Amino acid sequence: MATHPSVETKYMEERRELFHGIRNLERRSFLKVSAAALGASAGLAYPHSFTPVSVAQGAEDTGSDQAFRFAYVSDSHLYEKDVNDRFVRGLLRAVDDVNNLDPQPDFVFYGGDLAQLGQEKELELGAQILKNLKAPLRIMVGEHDWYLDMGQKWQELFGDPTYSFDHKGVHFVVLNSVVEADFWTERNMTPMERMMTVAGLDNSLQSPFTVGQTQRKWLQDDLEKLSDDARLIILSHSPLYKLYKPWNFWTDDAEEVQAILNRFKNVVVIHGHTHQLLTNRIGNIHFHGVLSTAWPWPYAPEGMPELTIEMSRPDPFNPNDGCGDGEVHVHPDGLVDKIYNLWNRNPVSVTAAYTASGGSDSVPPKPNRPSY
Amino acid sequence: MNWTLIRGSARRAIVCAMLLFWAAFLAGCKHPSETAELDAADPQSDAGKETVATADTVDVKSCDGENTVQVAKGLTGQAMADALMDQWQRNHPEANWVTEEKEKHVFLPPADNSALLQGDQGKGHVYGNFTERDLITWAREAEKFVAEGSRIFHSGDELGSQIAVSCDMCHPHAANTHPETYPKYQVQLGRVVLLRDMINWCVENPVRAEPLDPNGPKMRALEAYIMAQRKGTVMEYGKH
Amino acid sequence: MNVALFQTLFWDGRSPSLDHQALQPILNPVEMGMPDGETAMKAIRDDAEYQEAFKKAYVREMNYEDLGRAIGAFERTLVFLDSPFRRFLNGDSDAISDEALAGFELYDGKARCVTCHPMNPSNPLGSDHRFHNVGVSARHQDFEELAKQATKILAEDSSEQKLDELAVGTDLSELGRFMITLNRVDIGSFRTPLILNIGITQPYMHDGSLATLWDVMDHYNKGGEANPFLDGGIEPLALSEEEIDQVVAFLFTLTDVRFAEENQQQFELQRAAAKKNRPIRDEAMAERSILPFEQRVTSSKSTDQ
Repeated sequence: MATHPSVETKYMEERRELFHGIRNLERRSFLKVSAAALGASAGLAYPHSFTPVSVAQGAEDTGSDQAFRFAYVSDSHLYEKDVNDRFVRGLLRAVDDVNNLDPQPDFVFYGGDLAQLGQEKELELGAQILKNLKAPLRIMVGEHDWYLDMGQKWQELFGDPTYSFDHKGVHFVVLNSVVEADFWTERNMTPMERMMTVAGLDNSLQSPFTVGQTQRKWLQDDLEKLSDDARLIILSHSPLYKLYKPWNFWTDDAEEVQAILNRFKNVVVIHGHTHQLLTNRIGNIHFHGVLSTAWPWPYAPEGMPELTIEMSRPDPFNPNDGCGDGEVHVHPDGLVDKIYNLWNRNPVSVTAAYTASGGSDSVPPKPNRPSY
Repeated sequence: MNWTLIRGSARRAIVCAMLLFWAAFLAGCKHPSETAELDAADPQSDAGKETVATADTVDVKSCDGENTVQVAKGLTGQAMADALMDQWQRNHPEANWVTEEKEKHVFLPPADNSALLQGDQGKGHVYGNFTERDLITWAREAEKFVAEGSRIFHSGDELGSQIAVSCDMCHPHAANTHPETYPKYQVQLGRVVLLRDMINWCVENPVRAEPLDPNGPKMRALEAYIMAQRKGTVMEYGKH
Repeated sequence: MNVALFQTLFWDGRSPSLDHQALQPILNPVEMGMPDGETAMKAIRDDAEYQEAFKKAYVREMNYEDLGRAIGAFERTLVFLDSPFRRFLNGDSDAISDEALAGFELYDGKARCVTCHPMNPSNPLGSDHRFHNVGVSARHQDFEELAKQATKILAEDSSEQKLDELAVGTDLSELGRFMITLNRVDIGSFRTPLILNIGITQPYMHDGSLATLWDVMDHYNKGGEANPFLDGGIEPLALSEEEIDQVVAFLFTLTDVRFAEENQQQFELQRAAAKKNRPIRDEAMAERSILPFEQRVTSSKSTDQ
């Protein structure tokens, strides 16, 4: 006679087995229990419902000390606190999240659009909140930070928007990819009108984003000393490819920038601006979007990269839904696992295995509610 | 930002300008033989200035009932209207707000009805006989309604947001608004609602403003814009 | 009351049916503490009245499973939906006060209650039957530590020691739904309770930590208790004192008329208690002059330095 243990019995049994396994420090049993509880397929290295297995583990396997992880926070779009508390709360929550990571990430990358309208007080408020991060901060500029005073205040607070640095054998390049051709002089716009135009995602008066010739030249020079198999991560605000022009999910000189990156074995580009789960791969370049702390964008109505597994349509009742922060786990080969820490949802990992296999391995869970 | 105020007066002025246009048009029809004596004065150079009526000029009261302008004597109705129109346009730089809104927040054009001009049955009938003018009128008026919606959709001030949030911040080009799925049970509201009810939920919650009058001009315009942006989508009430 | 209409039972939803649920407390060591069903049966088997009733109902000898069925069947009769508010909806405009009516409008609007506590003819209970972290657990001193350890368990395979610590000597139940699903997203979340008869089912929240409905309103008005798993739909509400009174007045119209007397008594008791003490009330947070997470973020830095 087949017996079906009741939910209660199963619950108690699983709990017992879980703790029993743990008490005996028997790792296998713990994994079995947690995998069973998840209904996850056996052998899945990165269960998607979990914050993935730490990179320290992966590093052990290869005997390399070059694996590490950093966190990201992005697109907070701050107004002053007494104008709008909601976006301030979002950034506070992200800082709280990142500060609770244990162990702490090597650094925190801020992906641009700290301010909504580039105003001094907005940027100062953002800088003030980001000072509470326990880990060191690396920051990038976004169009919302720039087009009121053409970057004056932002640079005063954070320095040059274009720079590079090396961390544990990885060369990081931070670009200002939101350079727009002058559309304002002809229209006789005030600085605030210019800012408001750029701040509207669907405002067609503005120009497409570019990296621009000056920075491309700088990039070429900066990368010159690197060998072709160097580990390279590019951080840009806009996606360094052409997705959807009407919303500037787009970099107009993307091909030229990609050409500079062409010779490297693997390149990872991590970009802000799109406020959503977004994955793409063009040849050797693996592209990952990041989440916003302020609001999620819908997906572009056309031109979506095949590799992208979209996130479920957020519920507007929860102003945090579809928002979040995340982590980037850098592998010894320079590819990354990209963790989207969606608030009030289980985190989603887009792994190196997924992008490297062109989407056939380690596929992230599909959304149950597409945007439309 | 007194965008709202400018808009209000601009709209009144547009009505005004159209009346002027028709007045000029009719004047032109009535007196086709008269020719303009444009050398008498360059009305454009006087436009917008405070002038004192002289023997060579006459006072013309604008249809807003407030402004009086002087124009040279001996002008045809057409020339007079042109001059007034020029002056008015300089005073109202936002007069082309529909065109500008369309350029700024590109929205879909209304359906092409040119097929209605074909076929012979309607010829000479009052009913079912459509002309180019009909089509232009319909399209222009429909577009203007949608443009008005677009303007409100993109303005936290128009929506009355206390936290400077506008609809386009989550819904660029009205994406992800899915008006074709209403009526449906809306989880946030705990009941079955129409699009306007969900708009008002958004206005009260994420936008944090006072709810709009469900039958008021703003709500109607918002509905118009949102629906226009979903042109060609299959109606599917109850879809989640 | 009205438990027959639930989809899952217990605050963490670990039981699927009343018949099943009824048997659990009998065996739970901290509740009735019977070692097994047979022992429990022994205690009642000799009772002739029970014997006859069971025989009549199930046409067989008394057994443990039928015991669950019998209790479940009894519980299914406890349906209490006939509230003044329901009568109001049915057209009796005098059934509730103007104050309560104003409270209903707030419930449906500014106070944002209706999203998790929907009440309509298809689902009259006022529960979305989902699990939310509204931050009640976060007021328990060890919640943060439990949650941290729970995420570590999920995140790392080097943390067996930690889980062991978690398992021993802590109140795991504060992790709520997480203990059933082991999903990170469920940490500290509990099933939305039904809202009918709320006036007479004090104390409130999954742990009974709030004594009055005024306290409950204070909790939601300040935007819950910030913690890393807080449901973001729990926002500061900026309700005035008058508005809080209105919502509470409305909540007291949801009690079945058969308990009208008890309801009135509770209303007065709670009002008196609330006049004396409002331990959860935080106007600065309700009005958003201090933001959720703000104190956590700014104080964490200073304690570290």
